Amino acid sequence: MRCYEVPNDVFTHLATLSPELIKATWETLYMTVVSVLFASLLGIPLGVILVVTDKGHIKESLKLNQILGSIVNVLRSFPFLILMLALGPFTRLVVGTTIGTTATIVPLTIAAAPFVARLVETSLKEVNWGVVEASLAMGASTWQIIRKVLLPEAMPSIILGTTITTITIIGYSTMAGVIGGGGLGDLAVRYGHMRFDYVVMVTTVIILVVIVQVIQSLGNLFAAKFNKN
Amino acid sequence: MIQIRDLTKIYRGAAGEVVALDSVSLRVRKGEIYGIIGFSGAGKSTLIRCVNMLERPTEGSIIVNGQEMTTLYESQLRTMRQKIGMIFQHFNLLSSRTVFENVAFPLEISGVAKAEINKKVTNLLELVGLADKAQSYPSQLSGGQKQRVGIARALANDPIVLLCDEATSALDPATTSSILELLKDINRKLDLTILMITHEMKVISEICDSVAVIEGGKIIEEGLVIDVFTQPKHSTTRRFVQTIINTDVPDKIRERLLEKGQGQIIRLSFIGDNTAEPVVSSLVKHFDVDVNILYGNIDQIQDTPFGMLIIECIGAKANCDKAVAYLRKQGLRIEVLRSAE
Ligand SMILES: Nc1ncnc2c1ncn2[C@@H]1O[C@H](COP(=O)(O)OP(=O)(O)OP(=O)(O)O)[C@@H](O)[C@H]1O
Ligand SMILES: [Mg+2]
Repeated sequence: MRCYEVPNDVFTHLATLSPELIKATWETLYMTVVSVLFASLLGIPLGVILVVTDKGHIKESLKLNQILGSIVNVLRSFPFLILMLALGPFTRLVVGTTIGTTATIVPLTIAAAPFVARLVETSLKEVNWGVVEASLAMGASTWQIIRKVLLPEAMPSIILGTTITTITIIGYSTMAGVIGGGGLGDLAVRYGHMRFDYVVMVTTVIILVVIVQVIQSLGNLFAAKFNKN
Repeated sequence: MIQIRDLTKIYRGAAGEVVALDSVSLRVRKGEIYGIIGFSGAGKSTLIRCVNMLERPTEGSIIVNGQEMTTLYESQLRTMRQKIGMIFQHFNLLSSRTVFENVAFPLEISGVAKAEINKKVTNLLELVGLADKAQSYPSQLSGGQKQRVGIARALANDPIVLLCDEATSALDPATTSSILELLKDINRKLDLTILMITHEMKVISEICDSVAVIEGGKIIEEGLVIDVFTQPKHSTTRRFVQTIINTDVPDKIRERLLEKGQGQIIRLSFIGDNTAEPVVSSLVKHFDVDVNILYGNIDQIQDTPFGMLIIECIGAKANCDKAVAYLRKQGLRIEVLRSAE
């Protein structure tokens, strides 16, 4: 049986570990930001297509809508841990390896994209239909309506959705250690769980809380800035 | 300018078929303001939305400025729609854009150059009296101001026709009048053809030249506003007319009709310049009768006075009869509500 290793001088302990903490924080931020970026790149168009191809919308196509909807549902029902492992071969195809921080970005993106798609879909469906009709009456094309009406009108809501996505991805990223992705979650597990180093565990949690708070505040700030109501 | 022939629209839903429009035909001439009035569910919105194909007709033809609308391809339809302005009951402005940007929107859609957009939008905001609100957002405007933005936006691409879907129904009476005035002004200045739907007779009486009454998806009466107002044929039309002009005999007088009396009670209706007053005074002068005015009501439909007078003619029966005969010759509509004893 191992003893608790509670250092008598918490600050010296943290100081010696600070390179690890900083590295892990960067890894978490890197994984999150890049994944959110790619997830948005995939998810926003997907969400737009889900909306405009829906019944009665500007580009109704029920077949396409059903197919995309099913794909989104299937992806969303995978637990992240399993998705991460199952996507191994695909990850290797994309980034050339199945382990490491960069390799974690692939499953994070795939997990977050359908999430983004559904959030964007919800946001766009909230856009006042009268405004869409007015645009149609003015002779706007589908693309013009998407770019000049749907997306700008839904912007505050999309920003809040992106905030939720980012925070969710931070949560997922704590499991990255399983495939050697590093990050704060991994640090907490290695030190806190395996070595009973509660100082490190608590510190990583505090850092995560701060990151989440900052992201949420930024999201609220931007959403408010775009909200003209 | 707009010609609708045998337009039928059937909505097919889970609950079965709804015939929203049943073989509607009408013609809107260039430069006129044409109003369509009807109660809720009559098919007004469906009708006006068929004009720019927001609603696909089940059958029939719609010709705008010589162009058959029902057979246009998508891209042709878009080009055509740029020339058909539309304003809405709930304004439908883009909340993420300023007033200026909202008016610029249709110009961006039709690919107008930036410098040209700036010039046009500035002029349009001037026209609708909102130059000082250019940088405001719709949420900062009153209903009337929002509709002014809607009007400026609808005019941006120099439309050949303006469609108004209950444009004043969300506004209070004073604001309604100012918006109607603006529309009339634009109609005169730009010689713009306007088709508007409404459930308020006031709107029709204030600015429309022609009117059609729609009920159950059918046009039940149609014609110049002044004619339809003064001689409504259908009971629904009469109900609408009565909402603004009381052509009914007031209750007080109705009671009096039942009482026995010596005089004849007569209702005179008049349109235009031949008002009843000089006629009444000459009755007294020439026929040796006394005239008692029981009730009077004068209204104005645009520039034409229109009203009625209920008088009691007291005197010898022969004289009264002669007086009535005289009145009939004056081009007034005469109804004897109670004959003399
Ligand atoms: N999309 C639709 N699907 C099915 N039925 C519809 C649809 N739109 C309208 N209707 C029906 O068609 C009829 C005419 O509707 P419309 O909206 O044209 O009436 P309206 O005269 O504009 O009424 P209101 O004054 O209440 O706006 C109504 O019976 C309505 O229920
Ligand atoms: Mg309606």
